[in-house]
Amino acid sequence: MRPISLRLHERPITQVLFNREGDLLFVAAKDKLVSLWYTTSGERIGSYQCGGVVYSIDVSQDSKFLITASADARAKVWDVQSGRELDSTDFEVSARSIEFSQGDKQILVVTDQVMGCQAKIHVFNFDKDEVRKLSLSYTLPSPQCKITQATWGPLNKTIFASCEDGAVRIYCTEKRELIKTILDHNKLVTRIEWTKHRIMFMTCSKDGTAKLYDTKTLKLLRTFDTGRPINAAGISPTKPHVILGGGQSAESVTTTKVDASQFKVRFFHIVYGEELGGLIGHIGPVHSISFTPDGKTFATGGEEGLVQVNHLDESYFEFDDDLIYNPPVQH
Amino acid sequence: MTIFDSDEELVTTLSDFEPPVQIDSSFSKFIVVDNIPVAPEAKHEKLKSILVKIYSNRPGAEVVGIHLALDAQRNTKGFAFIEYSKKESAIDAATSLNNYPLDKSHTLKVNLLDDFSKFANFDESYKPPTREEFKPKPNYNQWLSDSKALKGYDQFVTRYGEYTDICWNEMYVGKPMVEKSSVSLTSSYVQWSNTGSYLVTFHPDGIALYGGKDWIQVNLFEHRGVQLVDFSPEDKYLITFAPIASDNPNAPKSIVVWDVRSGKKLRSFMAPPKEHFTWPAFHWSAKDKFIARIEQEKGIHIYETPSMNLLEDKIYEVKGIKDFSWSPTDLSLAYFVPANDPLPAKICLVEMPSKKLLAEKSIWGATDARFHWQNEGAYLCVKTDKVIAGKTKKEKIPTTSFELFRTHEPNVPIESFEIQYAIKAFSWEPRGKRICIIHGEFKMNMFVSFLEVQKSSVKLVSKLENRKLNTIFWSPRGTLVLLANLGDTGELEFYNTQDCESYGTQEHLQCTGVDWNPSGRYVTTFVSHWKVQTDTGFNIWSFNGDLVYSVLKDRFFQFNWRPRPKFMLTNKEINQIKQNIKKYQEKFDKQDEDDNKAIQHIEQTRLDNLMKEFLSFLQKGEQEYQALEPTRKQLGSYEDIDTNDVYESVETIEELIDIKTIVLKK
Repeated sequence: MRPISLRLHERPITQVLFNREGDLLFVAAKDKLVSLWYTTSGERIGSYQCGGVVYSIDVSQDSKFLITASADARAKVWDVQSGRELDSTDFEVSARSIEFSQGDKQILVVTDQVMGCQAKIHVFNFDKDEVRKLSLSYTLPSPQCKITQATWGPLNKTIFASCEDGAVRIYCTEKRELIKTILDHNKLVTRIEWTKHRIMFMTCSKDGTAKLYDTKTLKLLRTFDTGRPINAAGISPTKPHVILGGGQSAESVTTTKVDASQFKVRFFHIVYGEELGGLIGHIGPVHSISFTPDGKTFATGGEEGLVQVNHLDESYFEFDDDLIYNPPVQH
Repeated sequence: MTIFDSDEELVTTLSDFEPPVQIDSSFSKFIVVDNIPVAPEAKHEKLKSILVKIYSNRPGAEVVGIHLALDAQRNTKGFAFIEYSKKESAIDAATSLNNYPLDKSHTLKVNLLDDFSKFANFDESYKPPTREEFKPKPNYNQWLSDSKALKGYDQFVTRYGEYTDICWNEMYVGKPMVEKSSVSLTSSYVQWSNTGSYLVTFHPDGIALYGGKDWIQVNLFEHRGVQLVDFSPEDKYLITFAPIASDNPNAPKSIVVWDVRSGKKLRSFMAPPKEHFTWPAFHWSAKDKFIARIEQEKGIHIYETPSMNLLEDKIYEVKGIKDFSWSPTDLSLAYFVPANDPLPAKICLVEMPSKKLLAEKSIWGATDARFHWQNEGAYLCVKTDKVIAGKTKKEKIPTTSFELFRTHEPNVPIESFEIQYAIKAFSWEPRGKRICIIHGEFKMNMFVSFLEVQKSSVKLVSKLENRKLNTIFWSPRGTLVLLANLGDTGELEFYNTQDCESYGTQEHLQCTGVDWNPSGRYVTTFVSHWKVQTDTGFNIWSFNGDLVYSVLKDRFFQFNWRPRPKFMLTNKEINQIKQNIKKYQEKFDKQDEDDNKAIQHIEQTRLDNLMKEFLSFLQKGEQEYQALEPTRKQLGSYEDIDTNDVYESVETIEELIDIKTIVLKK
């Protein structure tokens, strides 16, 4: 099936995100705009005007609240339905990453390491029923290098942060300190992506590899070597597949002849590590990939401002067996 | 406690610094003089003075004491002890003042006093010398008899990131089969030796050679700051180069020649000044016999192996010499002397070490020349550049012509031919008679000409036009050639010179290098991080231009096929094999099929195991996840309610039931 191209944003897409039901698609971009679309039709519902380049967004489980982290050093809470701004909090520097905890009671915000400020992870309390305001709970110690993304671990017991020095740092939210550093990549880690139920996680890096770990033991299960910088990964919740996207950033591509295959998103078998195929469509590096929770649709957002929504064909679902999460009960 | 607490402490501390005085209790300063005349007491003083005179007659020797051995009658016993002020004087006296003729019947013998005790205590029982255990050196060509090599597969080395991998190219696997992968093996790059026996790695303090079955370190050549290595054609010797700013002419350290097997340093040389530096600094003759380097205008320094002495102890004088080149197979060399008004330029072919002139050609006005030997030494093609005066005096037209020497034919016939336009690349077909030349005036619009040496002339066989190509890579077995546009857009053209047809064109964007497999069946194109930073990696193509597989690696540096030693079969034997190719093909096809099946089976079980392992992790994780449902409920997570949700898909259907027309107002 032909992908649906969503053309609205004029600047690079920073994040594409589905809500929990997978019927709404949120798109954040550097043109200071967050847009909202229907997944099935690609029809635009509306957009949210932010004061700065939007780096990161997240949506609550009930799809009522949208939170945004932007370059104007603000984290904001929006009412999804009305588009009203409910609250805003200021930082000294740009906010890089934002995420709801499981249960939506807390929000983490990552701030950048610039202008003499250390990169920090701030955790806010958020009461969605009554106050609807952000109140700072605590700040984690800085790793002394830029954090590209931070995400809550299983049951909010930990926070995983991907860092510029190639490390993934794990913080304990109870003791509020660093408990583990995984240093397997030799260049910046761009993103951490969870598999369904946070059983495993995948790290993407500029060094051209993506690595899959077991969350509990932190054992490295698989390395996917693509040879090109990886910015984003989408892990299918049903099939043993992972989509990797990225490509050389525009300034490092020296030849005038642009190789379209450079920016294709590539499907890998999550178990065998083999490349299965790819989709061409973007003409710039891909910055974000997201699957719907039912695994039937995925969206990609690129440097050129294009968002593509791919509804996977029937033939795709016949191609490989589903992953078996629950082994058949032995009689 | 500090040293200067008190005077007393200072003294005790100082004594700690000074080494204790050693008392010399040995008799090393003494010598024993034998055979002195037997003399009564009255003559003792005279005898002493004579002996002192004799034994202090050496530079620096100072006799400090003399003692004559006496018997009961106080006559001398015939020997005396002499003490020197220094141990060195005693040793000197024992060697240089021994056997001093005092008179006809007395020849004085000198021995070190220490020697007496040494020889008196000598153990006289025979001890058989211990036999040193013979350690066989590993067989460096072992890999050639590896079961994979016997099936016709080749090895290659790749370097990316911190890794150096040695791999087999089992093509049907579709990816490199890594035999050995190592981290930080070398500090700069790796290099194969000429016959493929060794792999060289570079380190700040020297180079190391690896080889044999388990890739053990064979030898270490210590040469600080080494950057370049050049092996002799048969791998017996190697030359290393390290750039050294101010080298000592008495003990040069820039260029060192080594014996590969023993690891011995044979000789070191000064490097020429930077502006004249070329690599290889020395040119190897065939059979590893000589190395030679040019001294501009004067002649050629030829050194013999393994003594590394200058041949006949003098430079091989050639006035005005500009360039020279050894034949790859025979002990002969060709040199070029540019035109020097009124003399014409000269190209000479000389046999070494007899210096017999084999052929000579004079060319008017030639200013520069390049030597191109066919790899079996049968032909030598010399490209000469000259400037011809045009119609007006100031107009000068640069032209290029070729001189072909048929070196293996009697009397070495020479012929010349010309090619239009500027020559971009020139290359001989290995083991063949064809020449490929890329020429033209514009980068985007080049000609590729194929010439063949025939019985009496050189004939143009075929010509390609309007090509965007700049480099020629012949298959090591001849006939096939890969033409490439390197360092640019990476166009590739696979060409068969036998049938004069192009197999097709391909492209490897930004391709920086090409390497043919020694069998000539595959060819690799690669993009190295040294030159290009995006999309580095390599592609392996079949000889006719089909992509076998491609590998992309971040920070990919180099790809090199392992060279194979020279053919041991004669042309006749090769032809015999070619005639019976059907018989062999059947055998190999069957073998390939069996291997294929076996590998597929192994691959399938590997994948099954991977899946099993993965699922065990997944299912264990899922089980734990399920168990934590109450905790999630506490957190207020919706994750679990989805499974209990009942979805109802609602579809709005619009159907036209009836149309009524109502008149509202008249």
